[in-house]
Parts: sequence; C-alpha cells; structure tokens
Amino acid sequence: MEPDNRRISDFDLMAVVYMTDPSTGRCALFEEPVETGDFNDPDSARNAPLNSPSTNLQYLYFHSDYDPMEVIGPVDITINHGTVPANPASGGAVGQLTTGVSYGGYTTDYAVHTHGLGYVPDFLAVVGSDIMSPGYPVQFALADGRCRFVTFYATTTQIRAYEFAMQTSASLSAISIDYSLLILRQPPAPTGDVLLDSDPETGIVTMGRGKFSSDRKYLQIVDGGSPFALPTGKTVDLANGTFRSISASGAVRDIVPSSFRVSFGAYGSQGGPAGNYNGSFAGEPVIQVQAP
Amino acid sequence: MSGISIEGGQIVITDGSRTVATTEGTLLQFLTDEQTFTANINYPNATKTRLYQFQYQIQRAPGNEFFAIRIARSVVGAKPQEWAETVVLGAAPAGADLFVGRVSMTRTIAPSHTWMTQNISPVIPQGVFMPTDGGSIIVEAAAGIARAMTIDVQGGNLVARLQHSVGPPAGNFRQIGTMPPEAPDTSIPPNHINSGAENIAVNGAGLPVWWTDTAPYYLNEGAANPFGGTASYCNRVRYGGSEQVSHTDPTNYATRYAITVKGRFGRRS
Repeated sequence: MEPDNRRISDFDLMAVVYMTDPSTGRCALFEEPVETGDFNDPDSARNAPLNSPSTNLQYLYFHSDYDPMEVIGPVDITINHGTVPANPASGGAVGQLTTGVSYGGYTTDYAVHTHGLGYVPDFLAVVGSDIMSPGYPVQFALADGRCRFVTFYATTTQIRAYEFAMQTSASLSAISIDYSLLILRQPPAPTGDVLLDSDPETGIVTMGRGKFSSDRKYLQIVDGGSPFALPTGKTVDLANGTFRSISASGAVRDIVPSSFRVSFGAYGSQGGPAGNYNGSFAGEPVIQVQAP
Repeated sequence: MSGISIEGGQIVITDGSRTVATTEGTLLQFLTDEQTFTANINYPNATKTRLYQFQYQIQRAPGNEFFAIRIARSVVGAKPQEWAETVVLGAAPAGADLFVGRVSMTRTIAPSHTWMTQNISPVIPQGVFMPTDGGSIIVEAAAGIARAMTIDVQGGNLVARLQHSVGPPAGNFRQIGTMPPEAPDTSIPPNHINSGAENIAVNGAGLPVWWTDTAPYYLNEGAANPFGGTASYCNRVRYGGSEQVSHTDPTNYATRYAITVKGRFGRRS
C-alpha cells in the first residue's frame, strides 16, 4: 500500500499533475481544472479529476478507472481482391439505364488476421493513412459506377474482411491493397497495490496497478510521427440516390457518374436528370492518432 | 532513456526512444469502461408515384382489314427523396466528445420487393462486430437508392444519424409516334402502320422500381377488327381509359436493423 498521497507536478506551472489516492485506490494523470484547494488533498477542487473522473473527462490524460487503449500492432496485411465479374444490368425494358448498374450479387469474405485474444476486440482498420468505416469504398470505376466496398469485422479469434461489390456490365479488375490493423487490447486485471512505479533498471513506468505499462503501446494524439486520421463525424453523405464518401484525409469518392440517367418505358429513350451525387458535403473534423 | 519525467511543464513517459505517453499538446485518447447500447433503426419506405406506360400498333391491310396491338403497364415509381433522422442511443458522460467501439447490425425487416429487378442487399456483413469510431457506414447502396448511418457523440448523447436517399427521377415521360392512336388511312406500305407510345408520371416523375408482366398491372394483347374500331380499342387502355390497367402498390422498401453498439467514450482536447 502506498504510504501517502503521491503527487508529481511541475510546480512552476501547476497545470499537469500525476496523483494517487491510496484510500480509493485511484491514480490519475490530469490537468488541474482550477487553481484552488489543497495540493495534497485528493478531494480538493484542484484535484477533482482524481476522484471525480466522470465529470472531469476533459482534464484527464490517464485514470486508473478507465481504459488507456492499449494497441496491438499495427498489423500490416495485404488482401488480394479478386476480379468482380460483370453482371447483367438492372432496369430492363421498363427502366433503361445509361450505365448498366447492377448490385448486390457479389460478396466474399477473407480471414486476414488471427488475434487469439479470446474476445471480440475493438480495432481500427487503416488504408493508406485513413481509418476505415464499414462499407468503405476501396475501388471504383467512375465510368459506370462499379465499386468494391470493404468492411473489416472481428470475431473472438479473428479479424476478417467482408467484401461487397456493386456490379455493372463490365468487370472490376483484381487488385491488391495494403491495410493495417490497430487492435485494442482490453486492460489487464489489476494486480498488486502499486499505483505508480518506475523501475530504475528497466525504466518501465507502471500506473494503476498494472493497467498502464510503458513497455506497451497506447493510442494517443500527439504531433509528429505517422498518424492515422480518425474521423469524429460523418464521412458519408447521401444525395440524389447515391453517396459521397470522404476519407478522413480528405479524399473524395463520388462513385456514380453524371452520365448515369434513367429512361422510363420502351419505345424511345430519353434519360432523366443526372444521377451523380449532387450535394455539397465537404467532410467533418478528424483527429490524428497513433500508437508509437 | 526510459521512465517518467517532467519536460517543459509536461509529464512525459518514454520507453527508450519511444514516447509512450505525453501530456504535451493534445490529450491522450481517453476512454471510459465499455458501455453497451441497443436499438432498432428504421429506414423509410420510398415515396411512391405511379408510372404508366402505353404502346400500340395498328396495321391496315387491303379490304379494310385492321389489326391492333395494345400494351399497357402500370409501374411503381419512387420519387426523389432525401430523409434524415437522428436516433439517440444513450447519454454520453459529461465532456465526452469521442466514441470508439464496435457495432453489430442485423437486418430484421427487408424490402418486400425487388428494386429495378434487383435485391437491395446490405453492403455490410450481418450480425458481426464492425468498428465504429465516428465515420459513416454505407448500409445499403443500389442503383438510385442509398442508406447510411453515422454513430457519434452529438449534444451530449451517443446517436445514430441515419440518412436515406432516392433519385434521380427517370425521364422519357412523353408521347412518341402517332398519338392519340389512330388507324392508318391507307393500306399501302410504308404508311399502312401507325404506332405510338405514351409514358406518364401520374403523381410526379420517379424511378421505375417495380413492375410485373402479369395482370392486373400489365396487358399485352391484339385484336383483328375490334368492335368500335382499332383506335378506340387502343385508347381504352391508355392512362385514364376505361380499360386502363389497375394499380395497387404492393411494395414496401422500408428496412429495419437491430443494432448493438459496444464501446468507450473519450475526450479530445
């Protein structure tokens, strides 16, 4: 048991504090929300994030009650996506399409990584420097709107990739795409009673009864490095019966071409308005994360 | 060097040359214990219109012999539609503006009919956990229809922002050839045949999404020297005519997904 409350801070700035409270078993790395109260009282106003974390989330960097998001990886994988075959177009004589769009007939599934964690983990899938959302369009041909969508998903043993294709009267070529997986390991069960330790021989820092250990990787937001863009809002907008997908790094994907039009009835053909996305979506904020 | 240090007023934890955690600049990703939310989310039916297709051909042979073919079809149309709805999944902790976790989606109500001869299938796998960390999920996408969902923190709640879009409307709503129908005034080729077509958007233009080649939605027949004359015979199955094909919309393109969301809230500075 820790003999006393322990507080580490830069007393010149008095902003960022590491503090333990043996009476509650908590430890936290936080920014003081106010500059009033006893420095050494874990329940004082300036130390409120320690014992009232849920109402002081914005001041916390680490708290022993919470999950610091340990990362396994990045695990780099390559998927050799096969050719999406051509398929007869929808519409027929009643609804003639200027581009022969079909859809939904092609799906496939890949086992891409065995994680062995024994539970369904949270994870982030990355292509390029973008964190992917389910149904992510990884390949398309604007000539007629054929498109390959990829969704990564987790089981208790594996990370798998599900592929769905919007088909047209032309095939979509095979392609190899590199991805990375950041798998988030659940924090270990608390062990011992040490809230803060720095091993003088190895330099390994542990916090929160082993919840945090500096020899592991954690998801974090820091400048520099090779971060991944994590979306914090919409990455897809719909308009005119189709979608615009904007990757977290800002790349715009409008899948359906403006040449897509529909003509009703046989006996002559006169397409209606263009069927491409006609909204004005420009993306929502992202943050840059990494696990160095 | 490894360990914990204070550098420039910030606490820094290193492992060799690797910065494992630092309070410099923006905050570490910080997430609470896992929480679970369940909901049923619903995408609406399309806004419907009725599209009517009529064609005819009348051929005249020597001796005032006439033969007429008449074709009529009533089609379910989907009008352009932009729909959005926000479903509150649950309250977020004070100060939280991030959610990282996973979502499982299972379609429990599927469209009742095909859409332009194809099935509207989910883009995403069913009943498995997919990452959700902000960002949008393309749920369904087909020619002229798309549905999406975004799970994020809005106004102190974890929400599912739903979108549904239908478009563009078809064109070609016009009369073609000799309209209204009339019998040829000669049996001498090439003027011994009259033909024409008429495409009508009864309740506004839309995409033709469902039709059938069976009665009562469809008629394709011919007659020699019909009673009342060939023009009248053809006219009767035009839209508004006494024998127009009937139309009851049997389709419902609404879909429902049972979703389970598991994850952790966090805060970015």
